[in-house]
Amino acid sequence: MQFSNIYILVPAFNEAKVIRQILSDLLTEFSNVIVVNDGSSDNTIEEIEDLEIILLNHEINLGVGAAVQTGFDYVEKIPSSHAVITFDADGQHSIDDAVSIAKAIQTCDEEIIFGSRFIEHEKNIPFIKRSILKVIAFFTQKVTGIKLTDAHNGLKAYKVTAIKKLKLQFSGYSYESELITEVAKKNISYKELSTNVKYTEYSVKKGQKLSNGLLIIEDLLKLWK
Amino acid sequence: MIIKYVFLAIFISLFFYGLVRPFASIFAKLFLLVGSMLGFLSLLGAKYVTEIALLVGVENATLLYLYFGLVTIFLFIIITINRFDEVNGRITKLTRKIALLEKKLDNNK
Repeated sequence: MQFSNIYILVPAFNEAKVIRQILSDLLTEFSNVIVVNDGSSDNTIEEIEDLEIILLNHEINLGVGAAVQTGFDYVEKIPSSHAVITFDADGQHSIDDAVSIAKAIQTCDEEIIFGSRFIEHEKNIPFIKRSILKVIAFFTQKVTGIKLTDAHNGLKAYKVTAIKKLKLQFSGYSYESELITEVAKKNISYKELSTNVKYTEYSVKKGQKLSNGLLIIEDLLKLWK
Repeated sequence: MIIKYVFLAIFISLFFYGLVRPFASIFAKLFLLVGSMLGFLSLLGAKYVTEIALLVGVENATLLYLYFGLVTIFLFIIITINRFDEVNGRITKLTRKIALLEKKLDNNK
């Protein structure tokens, strides 16, 4: 395997229907796959426990932000680790994009790579979702001063050096806005990379809803100091 | 008349409870003390509360109760939300620590 020092981090909450296939696909390219089961009440754990993955388990559902932080804490303590790639468990990301972002984080100088659906594949995002994401990106820019085309894409790569600098506290989806605030505050270098998105009926149901968008904006206002 | 004495006893008890009980917020303590005092005075005679209302620049006792009640409700909501956030944060920290410790124990087996 070419990515022995790269860890794929998959936060999962009630993904029993799709997670096995996604992890199996990831394991064809990556040897280190971490799943943080975020208090799933379905058969998510049973579906994946025989796979060659690292499984971390939250006893209760805390939110995607907390799941990602648990994964970060785990990887941070592995001496040989170079980077972490976060990858959604609902099947909206492609393995090819994960490979591209992994190659990029191995060679680039920047410490974080933000995947962006808006660089080349904006048309693949449903209209309502696209509008919500644009509103969130607008508020994120106002609060953090950092202009990103896609502030809330789950596919990102972080070098371990960046993870050690980050101090995240938000448990929900808004951890991504907090992350951008931290990037701005601590002058962490970053770049964006185009990623595609594949929305199935399942991933649309699982993904960001309008109510989530409002909660993210509420949390952004908490960051506005 | 009995009801009046029952309420007087309740307000006195609340006042002393407010004095003795340790509160996370000093505002909560203050509001319990002032509220029970106002209740006590209003049972003794509405004119006392009216005098207090005029003293603090409010038109009458009813308005004083209304303002005091509204402030108390909002304060209660804010204190509850803050407390909820704090407890939530602690639960999150604990759950994450447990997840990492469990993995460490698994790896050591």
